[in-house]
Amino acid sequence: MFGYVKINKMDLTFREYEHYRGYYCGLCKCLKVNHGEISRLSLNYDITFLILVLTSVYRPKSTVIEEGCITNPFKKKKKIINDITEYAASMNVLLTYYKLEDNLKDDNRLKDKVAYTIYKGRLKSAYEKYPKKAKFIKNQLEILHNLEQEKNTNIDLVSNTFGNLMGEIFAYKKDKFEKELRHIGFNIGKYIYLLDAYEDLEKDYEKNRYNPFIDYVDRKEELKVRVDKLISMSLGMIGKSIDNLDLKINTSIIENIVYSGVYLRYQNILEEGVK
Amino acid sequence: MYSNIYDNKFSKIINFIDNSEFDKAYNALRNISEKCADWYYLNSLSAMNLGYYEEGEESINKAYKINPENKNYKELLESYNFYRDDYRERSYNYNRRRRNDLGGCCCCCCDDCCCLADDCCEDCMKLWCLDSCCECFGGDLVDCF
Repeated sequence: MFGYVKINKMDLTFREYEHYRGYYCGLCKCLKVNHGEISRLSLNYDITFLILVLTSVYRPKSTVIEEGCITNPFKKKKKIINDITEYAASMNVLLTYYKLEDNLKDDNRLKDKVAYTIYKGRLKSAYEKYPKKAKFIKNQLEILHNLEQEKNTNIDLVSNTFGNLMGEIFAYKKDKFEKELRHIGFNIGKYIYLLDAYEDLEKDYEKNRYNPFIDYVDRKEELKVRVDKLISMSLGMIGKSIDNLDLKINTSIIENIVYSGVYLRYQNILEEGVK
Repeated sequence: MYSNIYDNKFSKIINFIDNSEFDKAYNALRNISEKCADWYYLNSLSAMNLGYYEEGEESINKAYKINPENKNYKELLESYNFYRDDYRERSYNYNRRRRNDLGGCCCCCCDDCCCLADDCCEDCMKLWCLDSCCECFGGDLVDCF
């Protein structure tokens, strides 16, 4: 489900790519230090986007460390860490934990059981730092779970739970930026849920699992048009909110993600769905 | 935005919308069984702001169909279309070069040289392109040009 909010590496300058990777690597390091090695397994690009946007809005003081890492101990990589990285790491942990809990309810797979048990120990520090966010996330996932149990096919209703959850994550503080940030988060969440549901339709149908598009399994072309309409609306909303934020830094990286990385990814997935 | 709506039963709903209490507006609209053009218009506003995009668009389309002369309806419909169209246009323009099949060359510097390819030796041009690409990234494929 994660990894739909990516850069288009080919269209970034080297400097921009290194800067983006600095946030990603900073998140990884922060997860290791604050939440244990295991939490790095859930590292994701969507949360890196969160860091990028919040950092560009709030301009916190960042620390830049250059050191080797687990993927290549001999090559020094830039790692950017600031207050927002720490916040995002906690959100990353909360999301992963509650998602695992959800997986267990649905599939009860052994690997999820193991990860869940390990994660439960790690959850504590994230939960204690941000109890309100944690409760909100848990609550929205519960609502989503119930909608899925009753096989609800109102796609807006279902995707909005994930939208609300991401909106709460993006709404870092109660201030003048909250409205736009929440709006961005909401639409990111909706986009992720929609694309994931679309991509998993065939698999879910075969395994007799819930999917909001289950009625469209024989009408792929029609579904593609419908999903394209919804996704481009959500992404248009994100674009507008980003414009409204009037950011002064990282604008080309954010533009690359919103108008290229995301666009190419979702167009690709839409095409795959009708093959 | 509401200059055309004189009906009192909607004044409470309009208040909710003005105060950004879209969920209250949406719920209040459920209690009104007679669905006129204005009902659809207000429903569209509420629904869109609650993230119910399909219902929001369906409602404004219905309102517009009932009364195509209404300026407010037209404006709202156009604003929704704008979100989508603007996004599609900006992403299309951003990724435009990636679509261009320049005989294997996919970097920006080739935009300039390929128009000459018809007149000049094609192999020479390709070599020039490759060398320019190499130089863009800091190397030098052919050091005499």
